[in-house]
Amino acid sequence: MTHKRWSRLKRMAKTAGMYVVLTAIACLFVGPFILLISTAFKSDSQPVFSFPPQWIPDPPVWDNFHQAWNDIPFPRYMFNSFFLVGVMVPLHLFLASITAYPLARMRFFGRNFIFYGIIATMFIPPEVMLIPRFLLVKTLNMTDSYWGIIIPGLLGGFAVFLMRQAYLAIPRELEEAAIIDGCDPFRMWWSIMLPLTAPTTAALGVFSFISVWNSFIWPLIVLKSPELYPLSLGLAYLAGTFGFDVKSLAAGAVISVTPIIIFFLLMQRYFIYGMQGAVKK
Amino acid sequence: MSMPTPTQPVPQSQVPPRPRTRLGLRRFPWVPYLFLLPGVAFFVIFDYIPAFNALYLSFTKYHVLSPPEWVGLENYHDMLNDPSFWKALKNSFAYMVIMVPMLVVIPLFLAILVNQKLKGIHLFRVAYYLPVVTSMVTVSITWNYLYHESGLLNYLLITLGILSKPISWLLDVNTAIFAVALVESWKSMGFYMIIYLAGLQSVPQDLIEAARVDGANRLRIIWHVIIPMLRPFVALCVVMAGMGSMQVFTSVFMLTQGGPLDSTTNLTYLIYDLAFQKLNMGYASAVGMVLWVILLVLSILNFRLSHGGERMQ
Repeated sequence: MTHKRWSRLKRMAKTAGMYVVLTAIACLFVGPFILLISTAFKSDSQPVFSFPPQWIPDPPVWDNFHQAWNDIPFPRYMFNSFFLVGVMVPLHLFLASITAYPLARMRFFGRNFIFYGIIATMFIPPEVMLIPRFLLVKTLNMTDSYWGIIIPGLLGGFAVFLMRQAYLAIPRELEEAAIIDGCDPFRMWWSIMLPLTAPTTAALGVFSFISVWNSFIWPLIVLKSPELYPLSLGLAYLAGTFGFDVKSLAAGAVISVTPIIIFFLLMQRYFIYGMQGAVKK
Repeated sequence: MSMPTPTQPVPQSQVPPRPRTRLGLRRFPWVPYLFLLPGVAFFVIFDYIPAFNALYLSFTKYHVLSPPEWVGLENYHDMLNDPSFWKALKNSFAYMVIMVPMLVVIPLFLAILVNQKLKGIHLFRVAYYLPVVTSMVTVSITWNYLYHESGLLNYLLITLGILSKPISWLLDVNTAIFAVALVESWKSMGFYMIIYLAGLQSVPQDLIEAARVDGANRLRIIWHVIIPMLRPFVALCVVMAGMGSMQVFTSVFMLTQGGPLDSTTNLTYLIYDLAFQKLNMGYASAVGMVLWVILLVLSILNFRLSHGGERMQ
């Protein structure tokens, strides 16, 4: 046995050990979801809880999904969530972008004052804003409507900060060339600057999607009519409904989590990019 | 002295063209304001006015049905004698004490673990990050099953001989807050892992190489090279985890409704309960001010540590 072969074996053992550790930890993070899925597929005759737990439903059934989908307005909740995302995310990106752009690339009277004023809003915790924003929305007659959810959530200090960082990173020469070519400020923003900040905009869009999809406390406060509930709230409502079957609740949870997980898997590189961008810059 | 006098006029033709970097704003001086108008209006209407209103309401009695009535410091005075406020304040700090170490230490090791060059390491990063993107509502429903008296957690602990009989984790005054804090921490560990991952990737590789050449083993490299380099990221995580632990809400709402015996009620949940269940908005606003002060201290720290001074200009 040569020394070379021995060290190669040792290295392979080490790598295998690494995979065992990584997989064990992955089970801690993914396991609960597998339990959820398993519960959702169990038939009436199978116990939800048993010692030892039964991981694989035998036979797996779709009944719980049918029940969750049909007995409560699940399609409606789904529509509401998609509607909120569809309206809020683009508007959020648009507003963050047009607000951040002049703060990064133009010089004008009051620029720093406005920038610090916007940054300062990041120091107001959302819990403190719940009451006065609710009262404001009530004054504007927007409680129990989509608008009450949409409008107050359209912009935040962090989004402006993040977009401004992206605009600051663009080299000045591009701008100069465009001005010499006679580009006006709006075309400059739309055709030149906006495309150049696309990676950050995408990352912000991904964060915005997740936060709108998972938002809970604000819709809880603003909405009264169950037919306006987004999925997260509809599911909480289900969980709170006394006597609702736990297996159907699990099925409901699986339905509500599927779109976001698919979205995440498709867009994951933007998550990492956006997070690192936010930290490093 | 033969210093050139600055007053000497330079011939026009030699003046370098003014750098035209500012979008030719002399032609369009109103443009920046036009861009800013919607955003600034938003921040004034939905942040500044409500923030001052919150402060104002904290000095009033306000039960929604009749207009707010100015009572000065009465709410703050009541707070001092209100056991449920003290209990919530204590619990808020208890969440912090439980969650901050979990969110600072465990993600660091997760990040070191997934920062290796192994085939498919990407998949593990995704797996560890998965709870971050799922809603707290779903996570709470899932953990409700795990915490059940005949649930998986009790099964495992009994099988391993750690427990002799099952515990109702969420119904026991002694365990409920730990159970909620664990769910919150479990959900966000992936988030902190990514912050550390960004940090790890900024550690210069030659430093690690140099240590290896000097004969340091893996653990020594982690302890003496990597962790000291990550100090700013550790600090950032401490403060962010501190802020996050103060803002625990959805898990409490879903898992325990603040119970048993208020053992999981924190300031955030108390504000919700006072304002939107008991409709006592003046008093709730005063509690909000206390939370604000706590978070302000933490977020000033956060701001200094993350995107502080030099980035502002």
